[in-house]
Amino acid sequence: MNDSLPTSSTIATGTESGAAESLRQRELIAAIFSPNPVEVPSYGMAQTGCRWRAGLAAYRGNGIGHARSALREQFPTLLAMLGDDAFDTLCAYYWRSCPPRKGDLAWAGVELPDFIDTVPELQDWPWLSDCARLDWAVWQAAGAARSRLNEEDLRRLATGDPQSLYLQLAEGVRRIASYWPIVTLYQAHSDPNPDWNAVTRSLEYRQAETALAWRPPENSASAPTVMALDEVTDRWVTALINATNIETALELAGNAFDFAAWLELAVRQGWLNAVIAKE
Amino acid sequence: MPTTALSCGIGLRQPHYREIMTIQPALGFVEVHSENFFNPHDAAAQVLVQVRAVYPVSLHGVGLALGSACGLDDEHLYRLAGLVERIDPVRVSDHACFARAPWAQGGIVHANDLLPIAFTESAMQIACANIQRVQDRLKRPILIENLSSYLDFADRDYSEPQFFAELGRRSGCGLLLDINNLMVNALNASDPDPLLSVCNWIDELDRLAPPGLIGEIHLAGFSVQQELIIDDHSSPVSEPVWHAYAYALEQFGALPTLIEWDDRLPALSVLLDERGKAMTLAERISLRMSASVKHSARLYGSGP
Amino acid sequence: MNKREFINTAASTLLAMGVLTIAPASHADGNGMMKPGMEKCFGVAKAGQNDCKGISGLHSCKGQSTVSDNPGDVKIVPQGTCAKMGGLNMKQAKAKLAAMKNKS
Repeated sequence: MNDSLPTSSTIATGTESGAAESLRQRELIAAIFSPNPVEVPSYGMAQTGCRWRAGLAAYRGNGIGHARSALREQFPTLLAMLGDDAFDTLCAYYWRSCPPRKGDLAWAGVELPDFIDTVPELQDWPWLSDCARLDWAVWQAAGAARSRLNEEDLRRLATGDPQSLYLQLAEGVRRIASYWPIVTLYQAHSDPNPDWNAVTRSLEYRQAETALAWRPPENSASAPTVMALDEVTDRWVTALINATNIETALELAGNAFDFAAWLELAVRQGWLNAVIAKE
Repeated sequence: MPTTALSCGIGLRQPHYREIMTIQPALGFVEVHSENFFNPHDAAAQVLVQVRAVYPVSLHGVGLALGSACGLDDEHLYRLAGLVERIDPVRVSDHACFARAPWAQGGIVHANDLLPIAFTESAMQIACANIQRVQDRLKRPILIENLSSYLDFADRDYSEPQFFAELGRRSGCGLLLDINNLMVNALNASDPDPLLSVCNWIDELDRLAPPGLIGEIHLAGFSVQQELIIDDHSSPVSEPVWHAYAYALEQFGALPTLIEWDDRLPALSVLLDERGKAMTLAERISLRMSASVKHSARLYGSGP
Repeated sequence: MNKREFINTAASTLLAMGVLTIAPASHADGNGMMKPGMEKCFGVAKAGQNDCKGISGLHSCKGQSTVSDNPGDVKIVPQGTCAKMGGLNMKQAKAKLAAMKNKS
């Protein structure tokens, strides 16, 4: 889901007629994504007046409808927090401000968390964008390749020198740091009987949480899972994300870190993809 | 060669997965939207592999944007090629539309929609170049579907049937003939006799099309909105579309046919009944055609 | 025990326990039947909080019949659980944001 590739190949449209196709396509797209309906037909249109307005409205509605249904799947916590109407309005603003770049709606929400930070009406709920970042991490974890760790990897770890060994995290493992209780909020929204008083208290006390999201192995509870990282484990995970060798990562984590316990959990939960030996 | 009536299929939609895999009704093929299965790692990918073990799968894309003047997205094509390799589909198709264009603030936007192209010579050249890139990458010809368009461009060098016939001749692609889209366009053009104009469209294509141009037919329902007819795939195939379908079969013979239903999805049995209707029409045409072949064979003395 | 021995031992222990050999995926049987773990994805399972995310498909080639094209100038007023939990007022929020920027 993550490997990025070169994006575009261009066909020469140097001829005058090719330039006309480019122009009419650019103009129609600009009208579709315009903040308000455009009254004047875009370049080269056959329709005018109310027939143009109706046709344009059909395309504008289509776009927002597609974005909305994709974003509802991708941001369930955000949807529950905002409610349907506010979420849909946000989707429409987002669609026009950050038009999609890919023809695969699985990527529709990629810029939504950053966009939320720019919406004035949402500044009273400053944790919303981090909650959205966690929703997005969970969405990506759901489609990530599972751990490929095998016994060879563990044998390397059982015999090698930690100075030249690196632990590679599995693709779906994501760390989201926040100044807000994003894990408490996330879990409250997947809990059938949440304790809202406790949630509200954690917001009042501004309980900062760092979330780890991942995709467990196929035979366990296979839904993407979220947990809060304590400070010590967070230092360790951050070191691994920064591709630090095991010995240095342990120094960064500090003496309180229990490597053996973490390793067992990591293997069972599918957090690791490989043990890599580099000289 | 008229294909068997069994090559009528339905769109595979999530609420029906379990029932289809349990009762495994006789279907010529099932069709899915390619982009929903681009990711080889997610749960949907596993479902498709299981479905593919039982049915031929037709991959119908919505995102290649083959008419875009700014060209194709390499990543999209790469993902489609991966899916084609994993699934070995019976057909691969997408639409005669554009969706990508440069954005004033930089980069390229993909509108995630099927936007109309002009039926001009330059649009033809753009579409041909894009289609050829796809076919070279997939190592197979693809089918291109005619759109429901809610807006059109005034410039045109070709009528729509001329455009598809010429596109097929130049690029080697086939046509996925969506008869509901023809009807929606005729209605939105306020045509006094929409069925007649759809049949005229089919006649014109029949006169111009290279042999075997049409690879599949789509049938669906539309809905009447305040100002426009919208191709929303939310209802049974309408009566006039059934008439136009029968008319098309008379011209082209029986063809693989799909019942598309996406919105307000009914029980699977309703979908299978619609498919049964298409199958009955196709069978009747096949029988009549093979009878007339026998008849002319007798006339000219060369036995079958 | 030095650091290296400690790490080597932790890995050897896991190998001996066979943690990895019980983990690998059990693939679907070849009869076209769904794996038990995926049952919840078929039928009417609610997408969102389970492994079926996205399985209902984000794409289709239908037109949207009921969506307004211009939710336009409507203000975003959070009504869901945001309303239940309350927000910060603007002044608090600004102070908070400023504090965050100083930290990072």
